[in-house]
Amino acid sequence: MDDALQRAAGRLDRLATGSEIVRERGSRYIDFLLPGLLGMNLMGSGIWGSGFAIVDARKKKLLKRLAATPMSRSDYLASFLLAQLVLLCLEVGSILGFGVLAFGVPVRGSLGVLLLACTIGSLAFGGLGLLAAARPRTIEGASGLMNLIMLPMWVLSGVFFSASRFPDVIQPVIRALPLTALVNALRAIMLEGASLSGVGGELLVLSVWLALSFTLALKLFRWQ
Amino acid sequence: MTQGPVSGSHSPALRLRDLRKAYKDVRAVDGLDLDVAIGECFGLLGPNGAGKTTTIEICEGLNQPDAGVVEVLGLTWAKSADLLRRRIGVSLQETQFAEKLTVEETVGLFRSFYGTGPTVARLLEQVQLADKRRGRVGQLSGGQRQRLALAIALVGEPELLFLDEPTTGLDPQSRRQLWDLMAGFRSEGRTVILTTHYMEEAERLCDRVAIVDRGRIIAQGTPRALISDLGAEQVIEIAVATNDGKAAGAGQSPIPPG
Repeated sequence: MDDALQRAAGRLDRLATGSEIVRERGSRYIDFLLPGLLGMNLMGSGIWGSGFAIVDARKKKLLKRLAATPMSRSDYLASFLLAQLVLLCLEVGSILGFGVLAFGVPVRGSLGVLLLACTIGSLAFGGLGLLAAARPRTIEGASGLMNLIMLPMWVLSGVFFSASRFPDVIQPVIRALPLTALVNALRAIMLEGASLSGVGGELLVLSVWLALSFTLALKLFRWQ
Repeated sequence: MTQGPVSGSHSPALRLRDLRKAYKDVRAVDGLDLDVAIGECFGLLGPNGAGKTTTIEICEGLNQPDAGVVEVLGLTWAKSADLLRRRIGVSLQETQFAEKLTVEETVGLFRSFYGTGPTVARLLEQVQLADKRRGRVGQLSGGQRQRLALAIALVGEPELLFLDEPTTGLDPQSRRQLWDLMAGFRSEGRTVILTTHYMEEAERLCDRVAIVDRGRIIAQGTPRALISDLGAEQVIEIAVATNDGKAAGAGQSPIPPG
């Protein structure tokens, strides 16, 4: 109706316009989602990975027995982080492989930078896992803490939908969360081909989380 | 052969003065004094809840006392924790080692924390677990697990061994096997401090015994002397239940000798 009135009044269409749903690689929901899922997965395995083993050792009094030896306390905690890295390649490989082969999700940045981001991310979450397991004497207590750590990040960190939808006032908090940093870095590398300098800020945030959580875990660690 | 303590040949292996430790409303250790000489095998004998484990864990540096002096090999935990951990060996009550690791791997892991010490093979031979070395810890019997714990206690060539209830829960044959092993430690010149609630064990292994009850030492001396002082070969404890079902109190009635 509006169109007909305008043409009658003398409107000349110089260019045909219309709308088209974009299905280009890199702009689909699956392209947005997969890095988010990868980040979420790294968070899950990082936090749960060390937690249970430590609480179990505490219950069996194995930690107490180790505390009676000259074993370096920081070496013991660091060993859990390193053990996680062994499985990292398998984890990242399978999720990325699935995304690329089944959906054609692009990986525009360098694979090396991607792997570096995954490694630092996994270590940061490993550190959080150590912190969560530092005090609890029961598995229930430890799982409670771990869920408490993960739940806000599942919701806020932009895994399933953009974090910019949340009010401005909490945006600084969201940006400081480790999962947000990791997911943003992964998206930038995969979809925009960001280089190392492009994701430097995010990797720094993750490194700070790693350093802080490891130091705090070591300080608070209960050996009995 | 183990070397003597660096701190001076006259300091006792263990010196406790007025040791106190309380948990909420329970006084686990209530003014305990103790001296153990180098090369001695000393036993802490007493019922469950007497405060033996708390005392020994304080000596091992795993627990902090509320008050009192604790000197191990002439050193204190506050100043020389790392040095002390290299010179003592411990076997705790109820430690479960990782089930999926092999015996060899477990001993090797603990051996890696110390600089000098015997090889894993030598240790396994000493506790007669050599043929089980590739077996998983989860498959060991109770007696074998205790022997594993002993091997691990010896891993750093310690001058002083703390053994907390080393044979509790074992069948008589395994117990005797462990006693033979422990008798061997003495001949190597080590000091051994063990806790137990079996008088027979204290009698068989220890040079001197202290009887602990409610956080205090109530009697001390050689096993023979203690037995003759009490004037009894056996002591029977009787608890009488009152009408409301609670025990009115424990009475001790020694059987007169002869």
